Amino acid sequence: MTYTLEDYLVQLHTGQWFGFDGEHIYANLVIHSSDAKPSESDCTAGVAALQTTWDGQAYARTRKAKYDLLNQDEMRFDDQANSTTTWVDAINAIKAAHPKP
Amino acid sequence: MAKVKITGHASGSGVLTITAPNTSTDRTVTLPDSTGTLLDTTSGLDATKLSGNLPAISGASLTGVGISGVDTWVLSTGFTGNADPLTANLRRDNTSANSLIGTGMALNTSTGLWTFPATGYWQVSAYVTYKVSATDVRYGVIEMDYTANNGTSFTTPSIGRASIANMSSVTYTSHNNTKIFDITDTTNQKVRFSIFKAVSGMETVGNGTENETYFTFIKLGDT
Repeated sequence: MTYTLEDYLVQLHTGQWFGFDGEHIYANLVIHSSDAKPSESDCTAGVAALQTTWDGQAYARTRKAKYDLLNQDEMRFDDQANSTTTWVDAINAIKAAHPKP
Repeated sequence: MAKVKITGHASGSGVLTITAPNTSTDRTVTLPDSTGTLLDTTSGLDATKLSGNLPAISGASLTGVGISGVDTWVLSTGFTGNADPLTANLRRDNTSANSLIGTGMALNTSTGLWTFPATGYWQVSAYVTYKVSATDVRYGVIEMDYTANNGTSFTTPSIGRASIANMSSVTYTSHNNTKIFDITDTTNQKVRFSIFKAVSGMETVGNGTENETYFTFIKLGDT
């Protein structure tokens, strides 16, 4: 996902407080409300921060997708009944394959 | 035996001539068994006198039929929280092969009121897209408000609702709200749209070039 200026601005205030006169770039930013217009540098930094946060969570999203493929309740039950460690092993394997940066 | 009587006009001075066509075949013209005036190529015929099956008629030769009013408006910029009513960042659809038939709708950006360009049966539709990141949202609501007195008071005759189940990342949903109005007074009968959300962080998606949240107005026929 690539964040845009609009993604940053919608998080600052609720309601229709801003818009654009043309292409969605800072030069065309229009403020409809009494809220202060954020500076261009703040907007640039804000978009970059959103992108950094998103990119930094890539490992978590991948792990989550892999976890969802497991029938974890059944694995835990079988481990309990059979004295095995298939569930822990599977989780550890996913964590190792997609390490936290 | 019935008889044929030809009577001149007491006031006219012209000579009425009955001529034969260039033919060698005997013909019989049977006069109608009723009182009236015979038609010719310049006569008018009351439509109520037509009966039986009409032949196929080309629509290209007809006027005053078909859709006479179409307009589409698009939310160009997204927003979080509510819009009560929706007033800003709305643009007429100007993307691929867009259609505007007739004058089109007029939006008051102060009141959010939409004025119809003509009386008639109008179908009004709102299509709203939401997105949210990593949270459940019980509802997003698009209300269609109607006034019969130019905004003095409103009713809400049509509501659309949607919800979002957290999919662990950015998640989208869309919903629709459509109603047909009988508009007989364009000065006082108007509509507006309002959007409400259970979670203020849910975004109503706007788009500068594509239709994601948009509103269509179609005149179905005369009132």
